[in-house]
Amino acid sequence: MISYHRSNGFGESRHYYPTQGDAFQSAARVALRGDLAFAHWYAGLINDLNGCLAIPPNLFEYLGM
Amino acid sequence: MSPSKPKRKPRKATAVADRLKDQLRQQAEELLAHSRKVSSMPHRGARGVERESPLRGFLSDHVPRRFRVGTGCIVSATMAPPHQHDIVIADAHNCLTLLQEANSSTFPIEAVHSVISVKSGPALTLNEVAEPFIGLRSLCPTMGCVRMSPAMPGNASGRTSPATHHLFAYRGPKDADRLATSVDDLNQRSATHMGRYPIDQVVVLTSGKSTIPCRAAT
Repeated sequence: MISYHRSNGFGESRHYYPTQGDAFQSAARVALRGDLAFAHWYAGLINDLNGCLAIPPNLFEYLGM
Repeated sequence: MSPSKPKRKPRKATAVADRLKDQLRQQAEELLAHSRKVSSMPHRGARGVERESPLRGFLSDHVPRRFRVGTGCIVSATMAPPHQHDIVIADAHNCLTLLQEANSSTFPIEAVHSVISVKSGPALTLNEVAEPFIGLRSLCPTMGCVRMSPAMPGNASGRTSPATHHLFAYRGPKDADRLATSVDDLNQRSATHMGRYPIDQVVVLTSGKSTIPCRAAT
């Protein structure tokens, strides 16, 4: 399981939105090896989704109007 | 005087964690077993489809109902990259789907939260994985408009945050650290919209030619 980490002042946390030039962010590295990699990835995915909110598009823009 | 009942041992919180870990370990092994089974298929495209579907099914059964898990293309109001994405996790409640067919859909970028590229490995051609992801990062979501509740009158406008991009590989190279370095190099070279990288996370179920997931090393 390879991911980015970011320092949040209390240590390091997984970073779901890594960006270029972020001084507090580590390089991509192996976060976990072994048979729990899938569980780790799945938990991270669900955790990220829980914080997601979709803003619906303006369909007129898709229609070019 | 009746004999006092033997006190029941309090359940440890770790029992839940252990069971859940076992369940997900088992799930990963089932995915690997399925991948091994379909590896005998002579057609590469058919193998690919068969490898994606169990993971898509698992996610579809487990993500909260406000998301839908599908496959297909992702477009913006002005651009339509010609890539088919293996697994797309999109909003199910608030956003429309532009085209919905039996085996593929077209999602507006505003609806998409996660995109997963599924590879069999062990050789992972990162450039091949990154190309459609770079295309996605160049899509700009439109400014949407959400009417607030009566308790909070007015409108809120904004854009859906960029999706997270994942590479899911059944098998990967033996040297995971080298893979991590390659991912980072590629990301540094290809960062696009708002500095976001093409690949956010990579998960590999097993490394090298081994067909049994290795036990925890860290």
